[in-house]
Amino acid sequence: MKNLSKVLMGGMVATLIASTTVMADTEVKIWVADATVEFTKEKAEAFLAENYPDYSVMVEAVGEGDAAQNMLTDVEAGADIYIFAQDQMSRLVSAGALEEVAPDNVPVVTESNDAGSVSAAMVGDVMYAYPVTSDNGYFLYYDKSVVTDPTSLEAVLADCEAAGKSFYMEINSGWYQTAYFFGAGAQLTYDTDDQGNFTACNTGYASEQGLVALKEMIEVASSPAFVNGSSVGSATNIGAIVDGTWDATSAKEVLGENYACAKLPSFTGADGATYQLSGFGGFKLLGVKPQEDEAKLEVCDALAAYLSSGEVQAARYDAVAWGPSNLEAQKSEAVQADEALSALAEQLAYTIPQGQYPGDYWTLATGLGDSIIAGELTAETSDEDLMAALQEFENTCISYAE
Amino acid sequence: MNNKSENFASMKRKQRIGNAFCYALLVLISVIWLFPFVGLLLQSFRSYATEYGGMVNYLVPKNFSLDNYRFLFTGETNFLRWYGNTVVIAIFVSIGQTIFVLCVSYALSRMRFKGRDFLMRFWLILGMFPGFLTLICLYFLLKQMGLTQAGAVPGLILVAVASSGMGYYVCKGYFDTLPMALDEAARLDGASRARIFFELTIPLAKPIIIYTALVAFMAPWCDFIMASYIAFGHDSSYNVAVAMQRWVFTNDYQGYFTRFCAGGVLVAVPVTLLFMFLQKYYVEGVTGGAVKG
Repeated sequence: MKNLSKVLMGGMVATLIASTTVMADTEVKIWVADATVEFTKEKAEAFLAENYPDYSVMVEAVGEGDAAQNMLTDVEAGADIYIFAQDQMSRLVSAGALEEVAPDNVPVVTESNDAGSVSAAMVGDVMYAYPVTSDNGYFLYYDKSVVTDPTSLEAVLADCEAAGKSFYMEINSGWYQTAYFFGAGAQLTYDTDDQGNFTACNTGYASEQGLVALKEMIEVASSPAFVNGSSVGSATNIGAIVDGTWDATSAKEVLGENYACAKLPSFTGADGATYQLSGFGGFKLLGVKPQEDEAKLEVCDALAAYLSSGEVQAARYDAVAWGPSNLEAQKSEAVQADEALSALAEQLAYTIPQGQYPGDYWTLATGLGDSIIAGELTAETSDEDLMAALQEFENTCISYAE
Repeated sequence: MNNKSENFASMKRKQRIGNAFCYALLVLISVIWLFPFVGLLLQSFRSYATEYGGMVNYLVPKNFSLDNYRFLFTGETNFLRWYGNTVVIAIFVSIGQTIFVLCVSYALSRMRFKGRDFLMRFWLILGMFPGFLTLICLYFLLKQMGLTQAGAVPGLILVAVASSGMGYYVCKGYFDTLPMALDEAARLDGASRARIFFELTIPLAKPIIIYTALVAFMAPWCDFIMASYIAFGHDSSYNVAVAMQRWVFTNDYQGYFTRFCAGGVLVAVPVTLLFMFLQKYYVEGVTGGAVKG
């Protein structure tokens, strides 16, 4: 009997603790990258104090790359508002970690942000997130004293070879590889339903265009200047490197006075035609978690809309140099003067907004790139064999959506 | 006679060659073994301000500086908080676990009761499952009690201490080596079980207590899986391991590698000191407890 009452008491205490935490829920928890914690806190606190004084905010450092992984650990205990990279969208939607954007906000968001970021925020016809940046993509950093003409891939390689410098591009990554395939006109996208499940694969890798792209990759890889890689930090002999804005500071440091940026070059394909390298455009999005409490959801929606507004995006650029997706903010002088962002903005016009891809795709693409680097596919390989490799790649891609 | 000394000389030569070979091999192995530690130490002295703070292709910094250590202590990050969390968890777990283990071991070693054998075997089998198998269940249990995220530090202490009695094995083995006759004599003199435990067994069991406490201290000190899961998304509850691994992997922390190394060195310091000073007891504890019982 004594024991029983002890157990009962314990249970009551546990419920008491649980219920008090539910009742006191006027705290909005936000996850953003470490570098923007202070900035976000300041902006969010000011906004809440003015509009919803009953609510408080807690900002934690969880980078947009890890957001999905952390949210999926326990959606209930995860953040109310969080920034994530758009390739995590499908996982977050299917886990029920994203609330649809409030219908009133949809037209405003659609009008004020660039088309790429808006399409990245949609799954099917439903908008699930607020675009925050359009700065995820790659372009060319180069050494001005080495590369004289950054508009032609052949010229870039020739200059690097002549100067004994290296040309870095991570061709065994599914992300960088698409520069060639999309550039040559082959496509690879997946359709997803409202739940984020893959329903169809649109691909044309096993085609004349795909062949042009694959041959160009083989040619680039055969250059003595070529090094597979995409991080300034681990590159030791940079003539030119295909990399993103996150490495801008390091690139500036390594290249010093000779630092320069440009959109990706074009190349002359095996068929004699000229193609512009393309690739993925990437975006950071702000998501709101579904809430049981309607009032809190309203606060979260309003706060998310504010934190992704043009005004805050421009301020965010000033604070941490994240390239805005808001059209007004993009026109600001400071953004226009940023070499890396300008090069990226130029390149983003040639890219395809990165949609949802199955996790297996990245492994598959690494395999294709590796077989080029390892010399299994070379300039001597017959067109039939190359086509067979592409066909196999395509078939496997299609099988992911079945 | 001549022949004998020749034999002796050739044996000596053989021995010398053998030794030289052994030493060469040992030196080689220790170089390989020490390399990561030396690398970590050297990198931690490379300033992120004057050189690149990420991974580079040279080992010895061009200029030695304490910038990384300064960074950790100047409050730009929560490093002191994380370190504090780790220390608090480790100390409490160490104390709690030692008490539990001693009590359980004493009972199992000295008392005979119904179900004793069954309990011992059952716990042994339970102990063979890695703790993180129960992670998800534990997480939701702790969440009900408010001991995750913001409450992760007490939560982690609770988890580690709660199941610690099952790790009685080595300690019970040690108690078994203490003569039963001592206990019996004390009993005849009218001492209670508790008195025997505190005044007789404990003073004799110093090596095993230190061994148990050290092992209990090490587990949470090096813990990553539990801590990352239970404290997830709550920066100020992280331990050093969970907090600092972000400096190596995430794009948000470009060029933090040297700072990570400096943090790693600081993490290693207390453990190294503890082991250096308590090594004597540690060996006694392990060997004493390893007697079959």
